[in-house]
Amino acid sequence: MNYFVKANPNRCIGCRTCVISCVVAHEGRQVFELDPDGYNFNPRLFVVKTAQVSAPIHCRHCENPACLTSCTSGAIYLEDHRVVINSQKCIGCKNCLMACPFGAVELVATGEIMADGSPKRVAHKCDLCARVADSPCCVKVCLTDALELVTEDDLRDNILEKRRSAVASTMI
Amino acid sequence: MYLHKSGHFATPDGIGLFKTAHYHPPVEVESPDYPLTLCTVREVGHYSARTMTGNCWTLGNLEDEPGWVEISPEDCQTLGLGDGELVKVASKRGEVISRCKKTERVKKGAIYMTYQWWIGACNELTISTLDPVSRTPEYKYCAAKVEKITDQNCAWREVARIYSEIKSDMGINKETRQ
Repeated sequence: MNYFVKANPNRCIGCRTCVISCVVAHEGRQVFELDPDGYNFNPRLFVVKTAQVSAPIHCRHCENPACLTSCTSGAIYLEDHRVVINSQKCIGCKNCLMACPFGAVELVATGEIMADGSPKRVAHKCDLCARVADSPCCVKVCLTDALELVTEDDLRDNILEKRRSAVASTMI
Repeated sequence: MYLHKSGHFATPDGIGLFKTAHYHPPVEVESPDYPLTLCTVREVGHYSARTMTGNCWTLGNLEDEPGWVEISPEDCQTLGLGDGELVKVASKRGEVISRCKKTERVKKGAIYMTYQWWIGACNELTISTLDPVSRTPEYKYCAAKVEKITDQNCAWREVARIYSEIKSDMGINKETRQ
């Protein structure tokens, strides 16, 4: 099963520390000391605030990803419990942006310039900090513990506990 | 003279006095010319007038000038405004350029501005009235209006011009800070 980061909107205060941590982790440089124009500020999660709650939107790393199905260039694939985008293969067709039911994919400029002189723009989304950190950085930095990495074991424990308490309450 | 040094108040018996004040309505209420209520608020990440937090470049990536004016979806529709569009916000005191943030977090008839921005400076619009008892400025309530700006490119150029002027006045030079 693919893993994903779950947000608890009742705990999130909308501070966007997760957004900064995502950029810091993926940029791999001391972005706090760099000129803002000198690196790509392309977060892979998006904090949304409604009248009642706030929470970041992450890629859900679906089991049957609509983004993968819709990809025209074979740039999206499954790897090690994750849905991954190969930005070298991506041609920026935007199918995945439209296909994703969560709005978790964004089109970003990589900073590279293509042979025809146009800025390279590719699909971009959460990669669960693969090859960047041991576990998702947003989860580690969240000040209110609103974020959590959900693995297959976590999900199984969660379901088993709910089944147990459902039966227990019925017995009462 | 301390108000309450070491837990002892400067009163004859050393105990603090609680007093109540009578409610009085806002001094400036909405009118046909200024139909919206402006309230000034804070924003997570920036502190006060941004003289310190404005120096954090990464925060600048999250939010930058000219800031935002939060407007309800209903009022956005009435005024023909889209999310992210530059708008003119005005009161009887003056006018500033800000960006429209369309959000259901604001109810119809109200607008909210955070007060750390130098271009979208909401305190150019607030009134200087003080509460008669506490002397607290009435920054949380005044009448305002929002106007659509047709030429967005021109407005963005104006924002860039004002920003560089302010930075220059403050002696901020990006090149020397690296």
